[in-house]
Amino acid sequence: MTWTGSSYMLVYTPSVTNDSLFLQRLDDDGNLKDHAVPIAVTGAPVWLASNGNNLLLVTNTLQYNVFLVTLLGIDGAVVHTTSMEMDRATNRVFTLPGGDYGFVAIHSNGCGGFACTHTVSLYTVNAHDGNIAETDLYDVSMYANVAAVASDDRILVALEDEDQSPYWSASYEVIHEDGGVLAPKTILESGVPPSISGFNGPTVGWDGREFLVLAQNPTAAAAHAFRVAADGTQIDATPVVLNDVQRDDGALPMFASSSDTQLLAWDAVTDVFARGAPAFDELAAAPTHDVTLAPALQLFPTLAAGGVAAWIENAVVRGEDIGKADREIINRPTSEVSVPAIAQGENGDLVVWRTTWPLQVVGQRVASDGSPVGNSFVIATRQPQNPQISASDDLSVAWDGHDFLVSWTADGVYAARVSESGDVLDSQPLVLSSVESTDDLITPRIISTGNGFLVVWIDQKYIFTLGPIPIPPTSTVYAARIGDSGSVTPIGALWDGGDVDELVLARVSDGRIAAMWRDWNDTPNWKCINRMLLNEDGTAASDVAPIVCCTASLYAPAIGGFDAAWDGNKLVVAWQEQPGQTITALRIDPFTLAGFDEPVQVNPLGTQAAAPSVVANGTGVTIAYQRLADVSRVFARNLIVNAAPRRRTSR
Amino acid sequence: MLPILVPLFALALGPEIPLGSTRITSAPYNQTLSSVASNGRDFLALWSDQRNTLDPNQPPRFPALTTAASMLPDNRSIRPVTSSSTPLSAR
Repeated sequence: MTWTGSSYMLVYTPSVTNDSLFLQRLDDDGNLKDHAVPIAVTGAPVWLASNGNNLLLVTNTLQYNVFLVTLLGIDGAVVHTTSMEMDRATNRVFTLPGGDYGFVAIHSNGCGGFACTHTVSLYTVNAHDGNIAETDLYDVSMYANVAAVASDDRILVALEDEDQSPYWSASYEVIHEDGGVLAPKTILESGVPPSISGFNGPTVGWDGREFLVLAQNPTAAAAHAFRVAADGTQIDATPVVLNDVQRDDGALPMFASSSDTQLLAWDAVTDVFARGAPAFDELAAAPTHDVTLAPALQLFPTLAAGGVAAWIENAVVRGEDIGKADREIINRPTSEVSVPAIAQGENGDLVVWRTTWPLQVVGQRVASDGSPVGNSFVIATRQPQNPQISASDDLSVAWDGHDFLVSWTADGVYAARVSESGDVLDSQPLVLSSVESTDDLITPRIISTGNGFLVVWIDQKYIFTLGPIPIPPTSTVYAARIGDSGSVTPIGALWDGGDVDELVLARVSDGRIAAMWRDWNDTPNWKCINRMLLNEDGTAASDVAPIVCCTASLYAPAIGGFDAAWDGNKLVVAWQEQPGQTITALRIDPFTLAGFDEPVQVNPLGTQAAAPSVVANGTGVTIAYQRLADVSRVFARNLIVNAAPRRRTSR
Repeated sequence: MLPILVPLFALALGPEIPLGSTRITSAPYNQTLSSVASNGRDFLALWSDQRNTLDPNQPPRFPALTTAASMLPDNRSIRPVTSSSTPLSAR
């Protein structure tokens, strides 16, 4: 990217595998101007510079050490292209006082015996015809890196090298654009690095008064800054150490200069940072700014009865009583925290999640306004002799009027009761099931019964094959009862067959429980949400029947995640339809499966959404979802049933 | 011909309620600096961004967005250069 005098100009490839290049103009604020213009140049862009009248582009071709140096009109038309062999891509192209371009690079002179010789050369590019003049400066080792910047009438060339291996050195010299030496080579520092592993420096800048050389001192593992006067005199006898400006890949920061500010920019710890100061000598003390700020990324909303919502937001889990102020519930790196589950108790909610390091199931009591109550507490920890927790993120929680029950899967299905005050009542997890190693236990779901809990889960049995097409697993849906005292009563298989990978439980009328799962079904390319009614004791009360089915292909599953809740009158099922990625809701009779209304799209038209969560709210249901965008956000909407008596004539 | 009342139900959706607030934070996932330049007054930084949440069940994919921020040391603002979901390799 460069400034052309009237706009920024960006060169890019549409994809990492596409060799086409485009120029894109941007205004001062970074907004797009005009359409991108294709340019007849190949290779990955290395550097782009402008003298205000045209552009010089350096690209790296797929051929070893072959670069293209191309003079472009400001409209992207190619004026002249030169193919050059260079060992090191130039790290900067600069403009010279007359408008010509310049850069330095290292090229090989070939190898003879045990030695290869390399030379640093200055290249000047005629800004009218694109012809290149080369001036050899000096020989270097094969490990050398070089950088150069121009002031008004001179060029500083900085070098890091191991020409006296194992000794590393950083040096500079100041030359005229014809290659004549104005200030001879000066060693800034040298030493024996702890290992010979190469280096990414140096980088250089010019602030209108002084040069700055940044060297990546391998001995100190830090960026060392030295100021150099315009006449080539070294100003700083000892370096200014910049510990925190190195990039994630070990490279040194980038320079940019405005009329009154010198800027260092770099990426580290996932973000891009910048530091600006009027002059180089103030950079070390200048504050660092995080450039890549953005709205927080919100994922996977989950709702509890009573209206408390929890979701993942950047590195924390936050929660709120819907429509009121949100609060932080969990503060752990999201990579270590699973999607939380939440259940409403008598005087508050319990949020549970699992961490991967250490492997734990953790709980946090939450008040009705979403604020944490007390500290988080460990419900179960993986011990060498107690490997009941894996990195899998399937877990669930429910409340039966006395205690919470938390269930999770690993090499088996496990559960533990937690009192409303946060006491873990089962110090040793209850074992609901253990399985063969080829099985995958997923989606433990809990619902309270009159005297305890019912836990239902899916056991996927995989058959390993050497063929190119994996055989889908066959699934069995199992259930077990947990008594108030913690007694475990296996019920056995509720359903055997299909390829089941999602499970939802919802209490409906007449003492029945609707168990619903997503199944590829027995019909090819046909994916359904199926329903089976259960009795309070977990036994089957109906056959399996489809609620909704969609055509699907192997690469385009028609139904994404889904959830369901009883609104007091009917069962509301909400699911993600793919590939449109919209949330659809439907009210049905759970017994006959008759629909009562036309399905409605829950997320606004023109938007995409995923991860629906449904909960009854007393007058209907609330549906939360994750609106998909570059930065996704979570929302909730109430689904209201309006009884609208309509006059109809009867004969 | 007698008029009778037949209860027909209509589903209605309430307004979207945003959960939480639009909190400006350090951007999630990795951002990698591609280039930085100045127009003589302020600066424009260009980076690749691994944010991609169109498939919430998958981790962010390879660099999907190239984003630019115009910035001054004391007055920074952020504007996306492109909303393209195709990877860019820019300088």
